[in-house]
Amino acid sequence: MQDNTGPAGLGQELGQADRIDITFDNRGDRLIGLGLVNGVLKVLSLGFYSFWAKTEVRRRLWSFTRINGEPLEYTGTGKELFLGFIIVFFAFVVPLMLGGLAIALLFPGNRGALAIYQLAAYGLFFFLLGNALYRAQRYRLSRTRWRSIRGWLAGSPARYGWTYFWTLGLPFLLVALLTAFVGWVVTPALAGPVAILGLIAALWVLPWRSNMLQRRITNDMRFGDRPLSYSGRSGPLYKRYFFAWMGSALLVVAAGVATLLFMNKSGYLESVAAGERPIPTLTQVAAVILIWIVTIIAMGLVTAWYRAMQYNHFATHTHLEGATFRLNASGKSLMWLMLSNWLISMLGVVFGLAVGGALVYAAGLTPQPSAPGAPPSEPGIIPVLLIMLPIVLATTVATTFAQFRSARYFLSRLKLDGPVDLAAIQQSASSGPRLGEGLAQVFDLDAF
Amino acid sequence: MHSDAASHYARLSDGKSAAARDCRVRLDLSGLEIVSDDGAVRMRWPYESLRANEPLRPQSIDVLLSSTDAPGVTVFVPGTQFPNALAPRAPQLTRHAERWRHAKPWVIGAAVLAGLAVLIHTAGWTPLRTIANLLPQSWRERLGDAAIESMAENRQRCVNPVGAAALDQLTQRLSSVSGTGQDFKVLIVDWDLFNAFAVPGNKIIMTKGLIEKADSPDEVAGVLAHEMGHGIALHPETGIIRAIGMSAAVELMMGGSGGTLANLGLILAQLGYTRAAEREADDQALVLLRKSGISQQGLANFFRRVLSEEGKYANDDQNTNGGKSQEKDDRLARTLDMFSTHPPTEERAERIRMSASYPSTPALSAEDWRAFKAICATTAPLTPPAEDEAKR
Repeated sequence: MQDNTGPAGLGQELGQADRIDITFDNRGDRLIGLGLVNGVLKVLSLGFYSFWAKTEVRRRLWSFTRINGEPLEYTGTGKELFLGFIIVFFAFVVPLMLGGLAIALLFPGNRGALAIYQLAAYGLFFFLLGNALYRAQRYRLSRTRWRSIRGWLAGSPARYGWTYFWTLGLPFLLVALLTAFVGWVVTPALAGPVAILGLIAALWVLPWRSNMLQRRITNDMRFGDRPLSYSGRSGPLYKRYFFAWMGSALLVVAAGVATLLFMNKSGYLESVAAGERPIPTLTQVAAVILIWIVTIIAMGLVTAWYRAMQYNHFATHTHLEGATFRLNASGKSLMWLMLSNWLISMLGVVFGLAVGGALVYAAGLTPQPSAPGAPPSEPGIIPVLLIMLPIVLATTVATTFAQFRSARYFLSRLKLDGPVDLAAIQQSASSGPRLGEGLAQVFDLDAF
Repeated sequence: MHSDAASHYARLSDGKSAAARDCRVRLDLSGLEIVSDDGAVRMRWPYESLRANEPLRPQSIDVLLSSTDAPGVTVFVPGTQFPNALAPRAPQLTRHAERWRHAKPWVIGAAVLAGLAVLIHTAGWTPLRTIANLLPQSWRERLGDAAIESMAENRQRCVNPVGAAALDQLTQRLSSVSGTGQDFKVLIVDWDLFNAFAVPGNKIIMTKGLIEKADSPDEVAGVLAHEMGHGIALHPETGIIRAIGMSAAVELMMGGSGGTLANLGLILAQLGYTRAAEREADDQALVLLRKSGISQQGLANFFRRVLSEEGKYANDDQNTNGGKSQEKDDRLARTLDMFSTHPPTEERAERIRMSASYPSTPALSAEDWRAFKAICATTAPLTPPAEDEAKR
């Protein structure tokens, strides 16, 4: 039996400039089964399988991505991710935890000391954030192959991390200094409004900042020995950003007013005014959380038009050799992607919770109602497991599917215009970092 | 396995450039034979050296292969036929084999862990208490101070000198027979709450509410002995170590950021004892009471009263604290009150009541008891521990 005919799209391309065609296979149904198995194994392994689960999902998503009909290959392993995580866990997280414990022991009951410590810890996290993002991206690129050629990020994580830090840190520091100056030298009454207006004004740096970071990371990207290059400027981003920025500011103000009105109506503010420190009731907490969840979703929707444009902007100014990328994202479709993915995730949690609750109820293990904060006299492990199991399963399936939908959204809308002489692209000299994403996993940053 | 004569169209990438050449692959007896159409490349990859980009499954539409024999080189074989022909020859590439290979260490690890937990539990070994035992005394005291601070917040301590003398006398009488050579410090807090807590470092907090409700010095002695029982058995220390271990484990599993542990106060406030721990404290209390010649019936009476008031309290929506106490106090009282947190079972009260009797004298004289009841007539702020030590 002879199978002689090569499929369409796999023509003779040797030795000349090639057209590049990016497609994404719509095989998401495969990921539902994978999500279920990953969920079960995560539970059985007390969560440790998640590194391997993540790797398995990536292998599928990479494989769904086709360039001229040939798949991307993900060559990373769960072990690399796991070891990277373990190293960072013991190098950063454990010392930070022990530090918190030491502070609590050295200054018993001193909330100020703990607050300062936590602030410092968060500052350190923010300082390391860009570095972590860069390293994670570098790891993923180095484990991505197409036609046996690897990707790479050739720059320095520290440099990117520093840019990431100061481009946001500096504006906020300026606002803090200005607030302090106004508060001390002019009048304390103005400090609050100055801080709020200053923060809103400081957000004006964001398009400039993301354009700059995009330039940094794109110019560092390599496919084999060929660099990608970025030619975008932030100017064109600002017109749409203005509306996103105004809309978000208005939403935050509206949510703030709604919160105050509600707290006033429910009598909470009165007791605060009377100098008490009332504990909010469950209804009050739930209502405020609901207000802000709705606000955050609405902000995501309002900013979708801007973000779609920003993604398109990034793509249009990214070049490989003589070719230029093009992305066809739109505000409406991006909004729908966000909303539907969010609904899928919520559905997963709700479904898992419902099944878990039903299991606990059916097993007759419904816990006695106890007041909030009361020490549990006899914490039962079985009902906790019965609830956790379906939740982990359902959310793993839901998030896997949501990841697939995001990848499909971007990759099926991405084009590379112009010819690339593929035969001239040589393998990169670097074989990539030995271990996985470490820091970024601790921060839980990687979307894929 | 017979040799498959069919050759399949494929694309070969050599790991040096992004060009790809057309080639034919054939499934041989022991490996994959690859011949490029231009004849420049000819390779054989043994089946066991193969690696696939995706696990093989019946629905596979194509496969991208590489081999440990030829690092960097990849072969992409389109079409559904080839993966299905390859699967029986390279079973390690199939979905089930791959999955099980990755999951096996963890599943076995989890099983071993579960087995160890069962073993430790049945052998009665308490590793957490062993760790608690290793904590230096100064650490324990600091933990205790942190616990007191976070529980009693801005409240005052009761320091009326005559009452304090009576309290010292009672504490001495009980702790001198504990056999541990350690002193207990009892702190009375001006708090309408009805409860007593043992905190690390052999410290005990007792509330004004409890003293006011107590009918006899023997009841207070019983409660003190019970809390000392917790302290001698290192229950507070063990609880904290358990909570720290739990949150570290959760952080490890969730990939958390280390924020949980910073809030030690929260951990301390959530300490709860298991039934086994309560029984252990009861047993210890009985020993202390017998050795110091105080009747155990005080503790039994106390439990019985808690039991009978429990039902009443649960339905009682009125403010039982009286006076100026605010909603907050009321709610806190509800959540921390002994009636809701320490519901003694009938069985526990009965066990104490039925234990063998012995000659006993009242825990305090009538005069001392009156003085003790009035210990909250004078209050002082919860002083920092250093000054506290200096005053004693």
